[in-house]
Amino acid sequence: MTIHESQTSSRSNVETGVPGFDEILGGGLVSGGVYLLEGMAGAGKTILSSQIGFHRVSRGEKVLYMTLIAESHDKLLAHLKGLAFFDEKAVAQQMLFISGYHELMQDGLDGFLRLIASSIYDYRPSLMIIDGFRSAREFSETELALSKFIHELNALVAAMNCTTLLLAPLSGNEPHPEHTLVDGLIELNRHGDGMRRAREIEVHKMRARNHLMGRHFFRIAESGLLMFPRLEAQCAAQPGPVDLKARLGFGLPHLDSLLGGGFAQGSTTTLMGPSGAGKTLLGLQFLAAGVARDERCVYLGFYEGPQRLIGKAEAVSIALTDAYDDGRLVIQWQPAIELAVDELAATALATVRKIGASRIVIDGMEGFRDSALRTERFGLFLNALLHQLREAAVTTLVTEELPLYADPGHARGVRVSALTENLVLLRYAETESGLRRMISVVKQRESAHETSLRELVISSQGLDVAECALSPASVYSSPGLSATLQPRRMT
Amino acid sequence: MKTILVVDDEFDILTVWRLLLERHGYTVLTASNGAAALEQIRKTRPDVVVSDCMMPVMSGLQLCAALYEDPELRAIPIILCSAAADIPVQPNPVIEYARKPLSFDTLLNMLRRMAV
Repeated sequence: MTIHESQTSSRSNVETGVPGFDEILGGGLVSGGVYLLEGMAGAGKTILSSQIGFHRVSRGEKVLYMTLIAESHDKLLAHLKGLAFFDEKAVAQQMLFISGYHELMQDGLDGFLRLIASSIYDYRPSLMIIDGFRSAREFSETELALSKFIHELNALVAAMNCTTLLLAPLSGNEPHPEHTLVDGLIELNRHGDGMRRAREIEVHKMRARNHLMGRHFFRIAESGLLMFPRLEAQCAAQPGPVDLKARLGFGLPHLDSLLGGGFAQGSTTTLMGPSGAGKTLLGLQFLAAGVARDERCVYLGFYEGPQRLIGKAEAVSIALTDAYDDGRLVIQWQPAIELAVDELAATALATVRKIGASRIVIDGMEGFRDSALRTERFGLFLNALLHQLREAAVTTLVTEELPLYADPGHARGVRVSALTENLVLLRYAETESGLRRMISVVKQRESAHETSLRELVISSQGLDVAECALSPASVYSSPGLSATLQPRRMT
Repeated sequence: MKTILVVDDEFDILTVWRLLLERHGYTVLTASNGAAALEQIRKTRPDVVVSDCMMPVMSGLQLCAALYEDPELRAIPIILCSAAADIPVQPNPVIEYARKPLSFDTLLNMLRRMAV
């Protein structure tokens, strides 16, 4: 006995081609499924669905774009023309735009279903977009009639293996029968934070897929929608194998000696200190030590562009020009103005993976934090970012600014130091000869280290850490330091 | 013009097969269970029956058995559809088996092979 199986029974995957969207959906749409895409006017429903449509067209498939009461086809096409994915040659060939309004007006939902059936039968699209689905809701005399229509639509597109997107305005908390009958419910919305607005997407329901729960940021670029799955929502993979004996140092013998040779590979370190104490330069020194060993390194910063940063490094004999020019060092610079932290993190992680980086310096965590929308999630976000870097076996150095004249314990916001394995502290000491920079290793988890206070010297000759501990007798004061500074024998 | 009787207790399946098969050029009759189908078959003698297995009143399997027992109806080809992993084999050699969900293309291929 032969049992005839249909290809639709395998419910194969439909890649959307929208960066980040398939990840949010848990692997793309399911072939022959019906998805309701809701959002207020201007939320991006038409662009998102068209982008998916043209992506399917680029794969050699056909797409049917059916409008009800929506903008005219001319207007719709004119708006899409400015986007990179738009393919004018495909219009009316592989991407057909038709209106179902007349049939809906004249014969109601039954007439509309007949039009859909005959159009799918004749044209054989793999994807159908019904724009202005609100009209179908409004033409339905009862909820039961709408439920019946959705049932029949589900059966029709499943039989024809035609994935279907229904575009409708936001229904808020009001329940609609289609919410329970569709295979997926996706909402596009905006998040407001003071005067700022950000676009967000949330997948409320996705049958047969383990989608990423919660809201995710997206933006509309010339290339179309770019989505950034919330870092902390992504599955936490176990960190890859790392060589626990491998040490990554600064290339400064006395400092590396304090660290027991350097930081363990794949570990994360917070470098805390007040303004001007040398955080950025030490970060650059850490990267210079990496590129000197032919490692690949990434700098992520918010305040200084690449030229200024390299100039600053070269002024104290930290050689980075060649490494920047030949690609061993990638500088990712983003002014801390209304940036989407998820996009920034996604770009940094992609760079790290692309070049196979072994070191990254994230310079100025406060800039990152201050510009983030939904600041309440920043701790979880940062934890997720550091986790992903550990997973990639990247040794991470994060700098965090401390107030000049306050106890370090009073630092505001998320305490980055609590999330990292290692903590190196920079402070000023007031001495007879003036202000001097001091460095100490406060914490180095699962690793031997020395806790003595050393002077950090920055000169045109380079950075250096004193071989011997700073004499306590010579220190007048240092905020938060006096209680911990005990007389000790010079090494 | 060939006539197909579609038998299913799910209204959406009946609607969809009617719309698509009519578009393809068939005359389509529908019934919502085996008993109603048997009555239709006796009256109209369709060229083929496309039936679901699990239905109230009279199942698809019972419909197949009833057709097999009637020498005048025994030769009517049947496509028996089921979502179940195992479909019980019937003694009637004119039965073809299909797994649900059934795509339109698979159904057309089966009809073509059955020369309907």
